[in-house]
Amino acid sequence: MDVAALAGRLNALAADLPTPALGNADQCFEAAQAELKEASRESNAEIGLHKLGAARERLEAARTRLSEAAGAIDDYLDGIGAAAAAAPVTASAPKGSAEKPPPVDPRRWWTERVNELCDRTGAADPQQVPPTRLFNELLKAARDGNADAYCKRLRDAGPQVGVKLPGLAWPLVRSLSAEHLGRTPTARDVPALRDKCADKVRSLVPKADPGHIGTVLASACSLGRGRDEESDAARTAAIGPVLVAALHRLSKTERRA
Amino acid sequence: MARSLKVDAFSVRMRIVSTVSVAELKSAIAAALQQVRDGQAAITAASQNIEAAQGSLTAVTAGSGHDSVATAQAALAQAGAELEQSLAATFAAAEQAEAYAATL
Repeated sequence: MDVAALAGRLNALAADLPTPALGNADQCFEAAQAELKEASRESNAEIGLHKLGAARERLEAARTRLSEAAGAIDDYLDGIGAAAAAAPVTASAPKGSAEKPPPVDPRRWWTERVNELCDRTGAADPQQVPPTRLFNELLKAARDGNADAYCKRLRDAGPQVGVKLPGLAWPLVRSLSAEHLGRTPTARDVPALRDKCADKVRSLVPKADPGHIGTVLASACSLGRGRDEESDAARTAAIGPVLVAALHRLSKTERRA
Repeated sequence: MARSLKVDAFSVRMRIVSTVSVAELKSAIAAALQQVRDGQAAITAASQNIEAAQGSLTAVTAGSGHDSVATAQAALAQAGAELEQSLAATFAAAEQAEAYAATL
């Protein structure tokens, strides 16, 4: 390998060190700390805050080590007189590694994903609503079969409030499932419950396939995640309220029968 | 019929109100746990990246014996170890948060 190629490869290696990824991880943990702090403000219970603080310290140490590694690579290139001979990083770096993709805008992602799930179009009209009010509005839209309103409320709420919906929906999914069955649901009940609710759920969230509904049912009833699949916060949020409405209607219908 | 619908809507609303405070706490914890999982995924990917970098560095500088290469290798190894420790701490944090949520 000639000196220029060696320098090019080492420069690419240094440029690809995952310092930005560690920054993203740290942002996630910072956000988690903020949520947990809020949740534990009236409790002295150990809720993971200290451990997350320790995790962030380790992350910072790892970032320092990566910086040292990059510096040592530069020193090596200087030492062998290859610094000036370095080929452009883009010439030897794997495609796409030199230029990082722009960060995803959560609000935009949420709007597009909710539209996709609900098979609708339209821009978000951002609304600041408490999660409980949003949940009640979604429940009403689901009960009325108003797919337009359901999509709009969910879309306008945005990801910060939307991701809190499962916390409100799941206890009701669990209790309504138990009420319908007359006992605590088990994993074997999930397919039957899913089949009974699928039409109602899909009338408002057409792109939620039965597998997704089963996964939400299983998760809400603490029966595991059902089939193994990539999590999707928007899909989980979208299914919750309409699933509650479907289970409620199911219980009502069975009571009449 | 209309009365029955009203009663049912009322009972659902009452049930929701009665679960709201606990449900909101659980919701906040669930959101935090999702953030933790996202961070864990970023760390796992970063760890794999560092392992690959260690392999590439060894391959490109094989036999150089240069101090700076040894320093870079050591720094990468330490970064990987720090990430392992960080990941372990996040799992412990998630366990504590889940245990707390279970008591609500």
